[in-house]
Amino acid sequence: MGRSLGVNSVHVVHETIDGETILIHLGTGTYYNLEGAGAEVWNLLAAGTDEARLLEAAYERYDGDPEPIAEALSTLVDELVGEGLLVEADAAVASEAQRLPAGRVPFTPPVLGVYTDMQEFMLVDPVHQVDEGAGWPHVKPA
Amino acid sequence: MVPGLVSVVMAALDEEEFIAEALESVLAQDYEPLEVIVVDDGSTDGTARIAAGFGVPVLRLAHRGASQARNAGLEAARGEFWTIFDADDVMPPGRIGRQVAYLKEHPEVGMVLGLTEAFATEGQLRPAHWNADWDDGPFPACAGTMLARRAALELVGPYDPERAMSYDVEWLARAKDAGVRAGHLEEICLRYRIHPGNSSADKPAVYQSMLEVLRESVRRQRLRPTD
Repeated sequence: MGRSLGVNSVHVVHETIDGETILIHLGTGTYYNLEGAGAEVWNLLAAGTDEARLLEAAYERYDGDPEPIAEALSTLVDELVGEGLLVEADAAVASEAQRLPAGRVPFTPPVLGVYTDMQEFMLVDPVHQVDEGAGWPHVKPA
Repeated sequence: MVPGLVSVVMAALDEEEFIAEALESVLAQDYEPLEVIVVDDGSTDGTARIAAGFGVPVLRLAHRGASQARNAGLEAARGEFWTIFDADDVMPPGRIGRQVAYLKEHPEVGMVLGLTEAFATEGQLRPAHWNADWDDGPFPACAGTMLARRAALELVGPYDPERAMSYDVEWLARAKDAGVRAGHLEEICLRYRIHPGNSSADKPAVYQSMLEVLRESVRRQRLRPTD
């Protein structure tokens, strides 16, 4: 059994290029990076994969003892939830089983890089906070 | 470089509706010496004429975009301190004097920012992108509040001429990565006009450009030797 999770899409934007994911939490101005297994796993989670499926996919993808892999991924998921990047989602919205890239690679425990050094500047344009379409929670009634 | 001089660079594109109010608010500052340089980025309306009516120098360029217009203004600027001030915003009284005093008291700081207050043009409806949080009062962190030293500009370099969006964040990220320290004033330094013409209304494009900027910053931080 595992949590069903989704991207906190009201506040979080992210993009993966060449195996590196950059994420921004627009509400706090903190930004993050993930590489290797971290970026792969993030993209699986962002596609709506629950933790149980994530583990299955990870055992298929990564060489190594299952226990440390499960532990490292659980730590990562906890961190992602703790930072408000992932939120608990309705299991029903989880998409079909997603897969990690093909081929087996050695497992390196993912590290979430956390950068708070731009917080004071990240609201440089506060207009970005408003997104009625995505359900910005504080839209003032007309 | 003229010691003590503050250069206010105002890059403007078709701002005839608001530029007079912006210039009045800058020219009403009680700090001296102060120079204002308007850079007209290829406006097709009365922007340049209105600005020239204030007796300030107006650089007229073919349209190149805000970051290049700012750079042109900064090249012409002679001040020990500089700020970029948008032609649709309003500068609160006393701002420049307070920020210069802060930098003089804090020689280790390269730039100082302050609080921003959002407003809609009097007599006009608030645009759809008005954020209800702005009703709670001034908020921190808006690049338009920045006053910086010439030395910081020389260290960091000009605005990225190729960047059409998030050039403020990009410059600030480079400044941070170059070790420029920022100070903060808990005072309103910018009255930020929210109107349908705000260039940042295209949110997906803004997000995309911010992701690019931060990816570059992460790369720079990775390359930086650790001490």
